[in-house]
Amino acid sequence: MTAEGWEGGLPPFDALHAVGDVQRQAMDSASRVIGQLLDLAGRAAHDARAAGDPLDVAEEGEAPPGAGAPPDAGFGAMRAEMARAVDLYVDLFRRTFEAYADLTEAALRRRGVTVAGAGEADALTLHAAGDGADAPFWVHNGTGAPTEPEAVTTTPLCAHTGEVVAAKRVWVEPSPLPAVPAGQSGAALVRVDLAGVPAGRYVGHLLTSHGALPLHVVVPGLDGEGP
Amino acid sequence: MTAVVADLAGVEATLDRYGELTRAAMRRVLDEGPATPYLTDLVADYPQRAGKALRPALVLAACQAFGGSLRDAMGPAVAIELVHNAFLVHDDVEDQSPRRRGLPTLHELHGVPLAVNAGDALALAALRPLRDQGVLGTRLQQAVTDEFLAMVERTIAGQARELGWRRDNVVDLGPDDYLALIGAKTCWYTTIHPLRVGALVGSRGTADLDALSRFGFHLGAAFQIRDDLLNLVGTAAEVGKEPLDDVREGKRTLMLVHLLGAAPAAERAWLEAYLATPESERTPGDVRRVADLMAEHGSIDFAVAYGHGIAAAARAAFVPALAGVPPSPHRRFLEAVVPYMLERTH
Repeated sequence: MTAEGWEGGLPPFDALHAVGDVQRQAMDSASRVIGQLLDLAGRAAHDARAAGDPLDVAEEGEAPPGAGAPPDAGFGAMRAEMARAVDLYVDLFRRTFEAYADLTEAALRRRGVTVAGAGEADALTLHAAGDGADAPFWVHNGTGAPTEPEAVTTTPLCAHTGEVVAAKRVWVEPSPLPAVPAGQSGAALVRVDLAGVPAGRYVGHLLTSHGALPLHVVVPGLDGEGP
Repeated sequence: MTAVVADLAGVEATLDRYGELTRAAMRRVLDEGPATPYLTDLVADYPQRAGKALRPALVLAACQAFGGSLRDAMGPAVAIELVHNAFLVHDDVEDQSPRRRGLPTLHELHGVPLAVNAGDALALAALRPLRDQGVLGTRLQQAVTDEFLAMVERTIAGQARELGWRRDNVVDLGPDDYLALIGAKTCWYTTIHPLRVGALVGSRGTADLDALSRFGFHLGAAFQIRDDLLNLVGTAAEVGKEPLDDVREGKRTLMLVHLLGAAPAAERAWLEAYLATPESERTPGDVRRVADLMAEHGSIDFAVAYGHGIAAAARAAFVPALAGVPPSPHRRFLEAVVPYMLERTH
């Protein structure tokens, strides 16, 4: 007989109705081999646990509550459903925690270059003294590299009455702003020429490559009171 | 033994349905990265060739049988199919196979270096669907990933053993050695892992995985024995690769193991010399002679009977593996897969 003689097809599954020697041998061999494979897998898992956490090994010999009595199908389904619900809640909790943790961490580790006046205010307020006004501001460099020197510009200062102080009458000293080393802060002064400027509150912006800082300039009236 | 008629058409229709779903999900995974010359098309090649999709079907059916949904198990199903395709690419290079799923192999089309690289990319892509925690949750995702990594380690170790046997021309082998080899090399990733992971996900970690391993082992062994037989007696259209490839490669099939034990001294000496000959020097005539010796000395009869014994044991192992699982089309599919393994024609 040649192998080609088999090309008519292999016998169907139900062709053999009795368990012959070869089949019995196959069953015995398979039972032995899968037993060995599972033992190997079990030993590998045991070794991994032993290496990872000694407590797992200590607890291994302890039978869990209810062990030895196989749960019925109803309990199995209920247990799976409960495990599914627990998984969902655990995940929801983890995601909520991580979202808040990310926000907090971002706030705590805010980095980059910022421009600010003294104090916590978001704007720099200058009060006129004679024909001018000035106030310091700071460049905080929270990055790992020095900033570039830059020429700071300003917008015109406008009052609600329509009065305008031209941008050329507002300047920064020193100019250009010197480089600020990594992780350090540098200070500068903004000055405004207010000669002949009517009383009022003038608003504009100091413009840098790191952001704009609002400027509020207060020019009091003849009686010394502010607007 | 009770007579069981395989519902080949029913099983194949279910495999087709699961295969379609898996291929669509695989395409989404493979489309995630940017298009890369010399890589993207190669990576997509084998997954596009319609295979049986047995592995993802077992994952999805087991998950649904144990109460889960298709969505729950699609990630692990895609992962096993992708890593299977990666194994095929590398396997074809290692075996110097000319054809795969009816077409030239990837290395025949693009050369070995690019094919190996594409295989690497496929293996890595298989990890992508496992990182999704949105569906499974952290605990189950971790368990599935552990199962996946353990399966890959076993498969690679099994492949190393087979390649080592061929390189060193190991011939003193019995059926136990053969079963131990395919248990590690084939069964774990073809049937054991898919059933374990599907049940793990569907039952949310409460299924008896050892019982499923026993069922999966017998199922996988029946699958591999049938595969070996089809390569020996099937046509190219049925096999999807060259008939007698296994004989030409000197693969340690059950028939070869039997023949080594059953052949008279002179023929065994000739067979050992044949196996010691470099593969490129084995002539078609010699390959045909080995196949004929297998028929002459009852090696094919032996493998057929052995496969039936294994399948009978698989049917017995099915009962404890699916104990407590209510009747459903998915459970019926898993049961019908047993006779299908012995009667499939491709």
